[in-house]
Amino acid sequence: MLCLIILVAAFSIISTLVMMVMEKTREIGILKAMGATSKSIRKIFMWQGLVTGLLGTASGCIIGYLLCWVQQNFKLISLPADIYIISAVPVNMRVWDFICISAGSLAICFLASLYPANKAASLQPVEAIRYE
Amino acid sequence: MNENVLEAREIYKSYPTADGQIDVLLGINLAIKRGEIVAVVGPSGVGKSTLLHILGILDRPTRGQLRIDSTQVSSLSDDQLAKLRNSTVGFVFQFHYLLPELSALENVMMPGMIAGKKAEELIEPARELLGRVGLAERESHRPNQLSAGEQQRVAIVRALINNSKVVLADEPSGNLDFTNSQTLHALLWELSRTLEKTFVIATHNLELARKADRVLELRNGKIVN
Ligand SMILES: Nc1ncnc2c1ncn2[C@@H]1O[C@H](COP(=O)(O)OP(=O)(O)OP(=O)(O)O)[C@@H](O)[C@H]1O
Ligand SMILES: [Mg+2]
Repeated sequence: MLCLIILVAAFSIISTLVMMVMEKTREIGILKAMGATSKSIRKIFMWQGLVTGLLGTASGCIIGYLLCWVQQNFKLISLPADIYIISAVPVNMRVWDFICISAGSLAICFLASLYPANKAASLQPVEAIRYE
Repeated sequence: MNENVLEAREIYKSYPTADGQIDVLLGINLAIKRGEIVAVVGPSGVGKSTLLHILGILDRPTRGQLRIDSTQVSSLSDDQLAKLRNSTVGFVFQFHYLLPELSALENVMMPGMIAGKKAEELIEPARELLGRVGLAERESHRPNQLSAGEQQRVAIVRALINNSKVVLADEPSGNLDFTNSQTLHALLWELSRTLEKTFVIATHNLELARKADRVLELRNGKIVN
């Protein structure tokens, strides 16, 4: 299950960035014609991927924390008392879990940005600026 | 010191295609001096753009030697080419190719930013250049708020911000009406004279070509005059 979520997330990052590279082909060509190096173009798209990842991770952590907190205090998801000893789904928030998962998702974003960023960096300026 | 800003020796360029290859340039030799205005003419498809791209190190020749501002180009890596392009070459294309999200002033500053200069150092020179082409009042406008002629003038001064030795213009007035072309041509001449810039202009416009210091005519992959 978790694997599937990660896969979907990684693919959506890759496809968003690839789309962005395709939309910006001409601009990338213009920047290169003005002397931007492949490295600097790669950096732009790596940053884009990482910033997206940071925003996603941060909002994920906040929403996760809020949901757990609500469950802890208001017991929204209850369990049938005659089957289980406890009356509500228990939550146990560990700082370490938050850290590991955040680090993991940032790493995934980084890896997912590599392909589109390299694609952008390797664009040839003459191809990118053909008039047609 | 070498007077020539650009020197090409036996430049060939072929493009691979589905059925074999097409040979566009077949041994181009030329030398262009500092401050010279050179027009490149020839029928459509003869290879004017191809030649300009090679002279501006935007593309590599299939073989041949190119010297730009005394630097031998063929042995340089892609990154070194990018740096050299940034510091010595400016491009003007048929369409302005300004970055749509940036203002006129920011567009002019862009090559300087790529060179690693700070925005504060670039604002004044960029303003000065925009003033020269009569666009001082329009510096905060986006490209889509400018007319085609104005966009093209912004593109021309963008090509000059890094003190480029050579400006390569590929049909710079190809997309403009008569009056706007006239204005643009006059500006090209004035800039070239006052700033001692070398311009290489590919054009179909005979009047523009007649005013050049020299006309190079491309035919069958060679320069014929
Ligand atoms: N990437 C490419 N792959 C294959 N053929 C190409 C490529 N680029 C240019 N050509 C071909 O090379 C020839 C020269 O093209 P080029 O654009 O240099 O002509 P041009 O003189 O600038 O023409 P125009 O006046 O119409 O702008 C044309 O036949 C063109 O089809
Ligand atoms: Mg052309």
